Order: sequence, then C-alpha cells, then structure tokens
Amino acid sequence: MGQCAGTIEGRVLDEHDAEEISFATVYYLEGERGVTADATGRYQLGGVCPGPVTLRYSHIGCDPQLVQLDLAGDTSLTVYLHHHDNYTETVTVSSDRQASYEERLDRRADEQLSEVLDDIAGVSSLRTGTAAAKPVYDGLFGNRLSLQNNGIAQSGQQWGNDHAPEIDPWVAAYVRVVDGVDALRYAGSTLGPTVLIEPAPLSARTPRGGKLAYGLRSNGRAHTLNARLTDSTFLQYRLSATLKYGGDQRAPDYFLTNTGRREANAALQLARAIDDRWTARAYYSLFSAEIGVLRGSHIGNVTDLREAIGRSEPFFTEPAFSYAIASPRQTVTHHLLKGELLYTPTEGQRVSVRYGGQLDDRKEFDVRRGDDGRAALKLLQFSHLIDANYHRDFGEQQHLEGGLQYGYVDNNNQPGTGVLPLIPDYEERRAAAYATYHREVASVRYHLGGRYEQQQYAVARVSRDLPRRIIASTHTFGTLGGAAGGGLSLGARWTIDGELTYRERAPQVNELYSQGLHQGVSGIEEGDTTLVPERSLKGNVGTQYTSASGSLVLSGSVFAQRVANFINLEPQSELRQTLRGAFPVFQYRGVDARLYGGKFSAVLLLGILDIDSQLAYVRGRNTGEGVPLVYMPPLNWRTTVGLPVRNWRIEGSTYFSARQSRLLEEQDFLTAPPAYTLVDLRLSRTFSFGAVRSLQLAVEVENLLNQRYRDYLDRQRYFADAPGRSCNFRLSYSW
Amino acid sequence: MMTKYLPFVLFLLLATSCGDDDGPAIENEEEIITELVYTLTPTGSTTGRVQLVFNDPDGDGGVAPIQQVTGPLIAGTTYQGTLTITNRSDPSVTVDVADEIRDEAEDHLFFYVADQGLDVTVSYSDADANGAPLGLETVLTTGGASTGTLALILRHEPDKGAPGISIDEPAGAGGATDIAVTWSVTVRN
Repeated sequence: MGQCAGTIEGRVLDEHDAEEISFATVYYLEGERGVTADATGRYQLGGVCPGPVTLRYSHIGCDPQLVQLDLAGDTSLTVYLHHHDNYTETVTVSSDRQASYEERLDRRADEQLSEVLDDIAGVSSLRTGTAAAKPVYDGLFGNRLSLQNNGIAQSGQQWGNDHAPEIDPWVAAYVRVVDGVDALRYAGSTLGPTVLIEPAPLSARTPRGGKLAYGLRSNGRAHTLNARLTDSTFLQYRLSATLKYGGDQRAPDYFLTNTGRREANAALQLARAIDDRWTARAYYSLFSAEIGVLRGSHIGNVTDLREAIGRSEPFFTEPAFSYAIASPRQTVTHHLLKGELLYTPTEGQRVSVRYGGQLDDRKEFDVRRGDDGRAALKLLQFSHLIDANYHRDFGEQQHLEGGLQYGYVDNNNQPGTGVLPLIPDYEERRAAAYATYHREVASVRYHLGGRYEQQQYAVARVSRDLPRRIIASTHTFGTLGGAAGGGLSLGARWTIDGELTYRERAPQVNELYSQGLHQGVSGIEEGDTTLVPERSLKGNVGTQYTSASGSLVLSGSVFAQRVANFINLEPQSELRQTLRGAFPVFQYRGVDARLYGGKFSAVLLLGILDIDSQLAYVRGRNTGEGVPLVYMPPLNWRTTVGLPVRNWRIEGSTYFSARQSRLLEEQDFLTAPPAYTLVDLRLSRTFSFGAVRSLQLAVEVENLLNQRYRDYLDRQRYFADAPGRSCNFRLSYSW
Repeated sequence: MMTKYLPFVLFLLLATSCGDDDGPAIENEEEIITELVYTLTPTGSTTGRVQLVFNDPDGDGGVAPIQQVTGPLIAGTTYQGTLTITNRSDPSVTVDVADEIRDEAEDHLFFYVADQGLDVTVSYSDADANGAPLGLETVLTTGGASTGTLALILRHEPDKGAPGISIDEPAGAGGATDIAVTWSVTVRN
C-alpha cells in the first residue's frame, strides 16, 4: 500500500448509553487489514493512505457500521454501535453480516413475533396451530419465561398456551434472550430467562428516514403493509404502523378453515435530550388483532378428540379459500405506554425512572349454542410498573447497578360471557429490589447480582358449589434470586464463560386457581392454592472460538437445571363426570424436575458462501415420578447458506426437527409426530439510489417441498397438518 | 426545569394507585344444563313410565352430578321417548334448553347408544326443517330381558349426512359433544 502515514484514532461507544465497547474490530477495507480497540474502546489505525477510506466497525452482538471518509490528515473518529449489556451474548451471530439486525428483522415483519424469535439459538415455539405461538427457551415457557417489550414486562394473559405475546415484530429491531445476572433486573414471572424485544434506539444521533414495505404471502393470501418514519422537530420521534390481512392457510392437502388473521398495530417512540444531563423518552404501542382458530379443532369431549385424531382431514374443512373469520376466534387489543426519565449527573453515573402501563383486552369466542357473537372468555387487565434504576461506574472496569420496582396488576373478567370464568378476578402487587456488580480485570470478567421480590395476590373467585358466592383470599410470596458468573478470554480467539443462577418463582394465579375446562385441552384444569414457589438452580458453561481471519465463529453452551416444586400440570387418576361425559382431571402440583441441554452454532465464511448453522436440544424430567416433562422441544437443527450472485443474494435454509421420543404413551392422547425437515429458499436484492435511498426486493418460498408435517410443540397437531408451501413476495423502500 | 414535567409524573403515579376493589359479578350461566330427563312412556298407557335422570345443579365441578333410573323397562314394549333439558342455574328463571335446541335443530343431533348387552332399539321420531333427524323425540323398543348401558349423546354442528352414522353410531358425525351421559338400564320380563 505504499508509504502512507495517515492515522485514524478514536473510540467505539455504545449507541444506547455511550458506554465504551471493549475490543471492537476496526477493519480498513482499502488496506485489507484491521485493528482491535482496547478495553476502553480506544483504537488507533496507522499507515492509512489519503483519499477515500472505508472503515468497518464491528463487534459481536453489535450491528456492524460502515464509515466512509475522505482522508486528508490525521483524523479522530468516534463511532457508536448498537450494543446491549456487554456481557452475555445469547443472540446468534448471523452470517449475513452486510445487514443490520434491524434490517434482518424487517424482512420478517409479515410473520409473527415467535417465528422471529425461533432464529435465536435455543428458542422454539409452543403453538396453537396458526393462531398463536409463544417462545420456549431452554425448555421453559409461559410463566417461566418473561418477555420484556421495550424494557417493560409484557403483561396480559401470558399463562395461556394459546395466547401469543401481543407484540408486532415490525416495531422490534433487536430480539435476544438473557439469563443469569443480566436477567435479574427485569420484572415479570420467570424462572431465569427473559426475552428482550426492543425497538431501535432513538437519540439525537439517529438519522431521519423512513421505510415503507409491502408483503404478500401466497399461503393465506395475506397482505402486510408496514411503515416507519423517523424524524425530529423539537424532539426525536419514530412512528411505526402495520396492517395485516390474511385468510385461510393451507396444509399440503387441504385448507385450514378459519385460520385467517387481521392485525392493525401502531407505535410511537419519542426522545428528547432536555439538556446535557436530562433525557426524556416515551413510547406508546397498540397491538390489535382478530385471529381465527382452526374450525376443526373445536371439540366437546375426549371422544370428539379421539375421533378428530384419526381423520385424514379435519372436520369442517371447506373446499375453498376464504378470508372470513368465524368462531372459534380471539380478539385482542393491547396498549403499552412507557415513560422514561434519564438523569446523568456526572459521567459514570446514571439514574433512570421508568413507568410502564399496559391495558390488555382479550376476548375468545367459542362455537356455542345460541349467539356465537358472545365471547366465552372476556378478560380486561390493567398493569402498571414503576422502575427506578441507578448505575455507577467505578473506574473503567467495574460498575454497579441497582434498582427498585413496584408493579400492580388488576385482572377482571368482564360480565356477559354466560360462563363461569376459568381464571378469577385478582389484584397483584409486586415490589422488588435488585443489584448487580460487573468487573473486568485484564482477560477475566465476572459479575454477580441478587434480586428479592415480594408478591401479593388478592383473589376474588366464584364458588363452584351452590349457592354461588364470591370467595376472597390473599396470598403473599417472597422470592429470591441470585446469580454469579465469569468469563475468561484465552488469547484473542477463545472465550469461556460460566454462570450459576438461583431463582425462585412464585406460583401465578392460573396455577393457584384455574378451574374448569380449558378450550381444546380435553381436560379439566385445576389450580392448587397450597402451591409454594419454585426453586431453581441452573448452571451453564459456554465457549466461543473466533478464527484469526474472523471467517469462522464457533460457539457452544450447555446447561443443567434442577427445580424443586416445579409447578406441573399432572394428570390425576380420577375422571370427572360431567354432562359431556367423563373428563380427565389435571392438577397443578409441585414436583421435582431436572432439565439439561445444549446449543451449538457455527458461522462460516467460505469464499463467497456464508453458512450459519445452529443446533439445540433439551431434556426435561420429572424426577419425583420418574417420567419425562411434557412440551419439551425435540432436538432441532437450522442451517442457512447464503450466496451472493452479482447483485442478488440467494439464501437457502433447512430446519430439521427430530421426533420427541422422550414421552410415555400415557402422557398424551397421541404419540409424538415423526421428525421432519423444512426447506426455504429466498432471493433478494437491494437497489440503491444515492447514499440512503434504497429499494429492497425479496422473493421467498417457505416449505419449498410442501412437506406434510406436524410439530410436537403444536397443540393442534391432533387435528391438522401444519401449513404447506408459501410463496412470498416483499418490496420495501427506505429513505 | 423539572416542574414542567411534574404533572406528567404525578399523572403516572396516580394511574398506578387507582384500582377498583369491587368484587366480580357472578356470571349468569346461560348455557349450562342442570337437569336432563329422558322420559319413556309405554305407548298407549299412562302407567309404567320410566325416567332416566341426570342432575347437576351446580354444573361442572363442585358437587358431583346425580344419575338415576326410576325403574326397569319391560321386555317387548314400545316406549315414546321425550327429552326435557333444563337450566335452573338462575333460581328465578327456568330455561328450557330443549326449546333452544329445537330452534337450532339443523345444528343438533342426538344419538342413543345401547351397549353391554342392553337389548333395546331406538329410532328417531322427529326431524329438523331439512327432514334430517333430531332426536328430542324418539321411540324405544325393548327386546328380551337384559341389562346394559344406554348412552345419550348430543352433537353440536355435526355433519348429519356423514356416511356410516346412525342413531347408535355417532362416529364420523363430527361436531362438538354437548351432552354425553350414560345410564345403567335393566329390561325385565
């Protein structure tokens, strides 16, 4: 490169809170070489030739950023990357390095949130056909896995397996899972892991711009329209909106009648730097959906279920496509309002106060005698959360964080259903305190933290015997959590980390009080008011190797978890006689459980090919009774291969799911479905006009081979095959 | 400077502190069935009536339902069968559920399945507007002396034209089961 003597130096900082990012890579494209920043984010690149210079700043877990400049003399350059807590990196390192996280998520805005989360190593989905899906991480879901929507614990009826989190993936720019110390600061019912779903940060540095996207999916003939606008007047704002309109989806051999879906979502994000020390942020989002549930999955008793299982196509399958949505169906409206005030009195000290308020309005309509337009379940839930957080740096290599939280939930069954409620009315109050400490000494990093939470429920339920009356009761639980972990860099290539987490989880209201037949379950679910908190001890170790050239990243981790009083829905020996015949009774009981598993991923750049592969498995056992735990995801393996051809990018991916063989025959009405493999193919291209304007075009075929399959974690596998092939088209324009 | 934002913060605090403490309304259970009676009256007679009863005043859960048969059937007899289905969950109103079913006759079909050696034959004696059977009214004919079970099944939104179904064969009809009650029945000479 001749005798160039230009120098570029500067710092790499976190866009979110201007914290330094340690050991980021700065790659000088023209010179085909790079340097690594130090622990405080400082870097110096010498021998740079004058003229056009392109630098790529990257760090694991960050969006890479390309900076172009015309070098005249020595230059100082501070770059902000988007980065989360600088510790556990559970999000996958994707092979498609050219695209930012946000861009990669945007491509999937026509899907449901859970399908997006599926791409994270170790995450699977628990589904109710096409109607609802919720994430499963390391074998935990529902009450054991909390979701943070923009830092606020997602409320609503999260206990229900057929209730999907009410979040629009278009609003999310970053999704990841944290566990251990990093999860201690989040509210919500969890046994450790927490899914973080965040919009792109908004600050004075955020450039103005926008994006408009239209997507069409052949399966379900679904149209999706997305829009996003970022701008500033006297404050920064970002407005997002989504409309979805889809009809019956189709399995390879028949239509899945009544699986249409409508969604209308909007979000507004505001930020204002009041002065050097004060920043105010606000966020409001609305999610509203009407979701059809497969008509053939509505059954009355166990005989109906057995009859439905044996069929070649579900009952009520219509020969033609329709956009109509009839009962059974769900409508849900979810509002989230967040306000945050951030105060930075001195560098290295931050105080933030956040308020999050949510209103969740859920209605479920059954096929019923008389008026189908009357909901059989109608729940209105208000929740409020106040969170105060203090962060302090002690020098450059250690920091302390602490906080207080207070949460209030008011859950109300709305009258007019004509059915006694499954979940009683209740008020819940939670107060929590947490503190974490992080330290870095040379190549060793460690952190530890604790959390204590006090929860109280005031429940008002309707008696099941006559005369009907209101029975009031209260429960108070105190739960403790603590975690400690460390990481070690062995040279520049290897890192090893490990963490030990102890968490307690108080029983939730459905586990204490649910009573009655849950739609589609073919069993009577009964809570147990004597349940005590679950106590879990989880250990995990992981390692990551990055080759010298950066073209190979291998990572793997394993975990083992023991849970005492694991609240499990256990089949009881009695059959309960009702007008609709005898039903099996399932009761929530505390048992001892053990879970273990592992996740492995590899990212490989092979010439112009890029390959991304990840495998996850988990096993769960009820050790008290010596039987497997149900709803454990079978081993799954996902591989994506990308190939640039001229200006196009071709991407093929396969997803393999093994058969869940660890189940006893008497644990289910139907044995687990066989293993299956799905193949997807996509072709995309970006047309750029000038520096920021671009048009993105993508054509995609999902389930290319039109594979007929049923997934073990899909609760509608008793009734119907999963959807078949879908050809999707997506066009977006950003400026 | 902060005073500008004070009202906002106060509003948020207030919002968290107001919850309603009213107890829930006790839902009027308009759809449950608390009493089901299958009355069998010998043709041309006013005596010898037999009732098959299912009684569950508090619905699913609570106290277990009571099932009883008021007496044995007589061999070689033809009975007129009538179903009465009522909801007395609200003490002030008695809802005739059979009437509601009759209003939606096309969406309902009853099955009568004799099993475990019970020697009786049941046939439909009513129909919906399309001429397809319903089963609120039936004719039951006893054969010889026997004991066994008689199951009464009501399917909501079945396929009345499904192949292979008959009054004693619900498999294949689909729909959701709203009623499935089984009685032990004796036929004696």
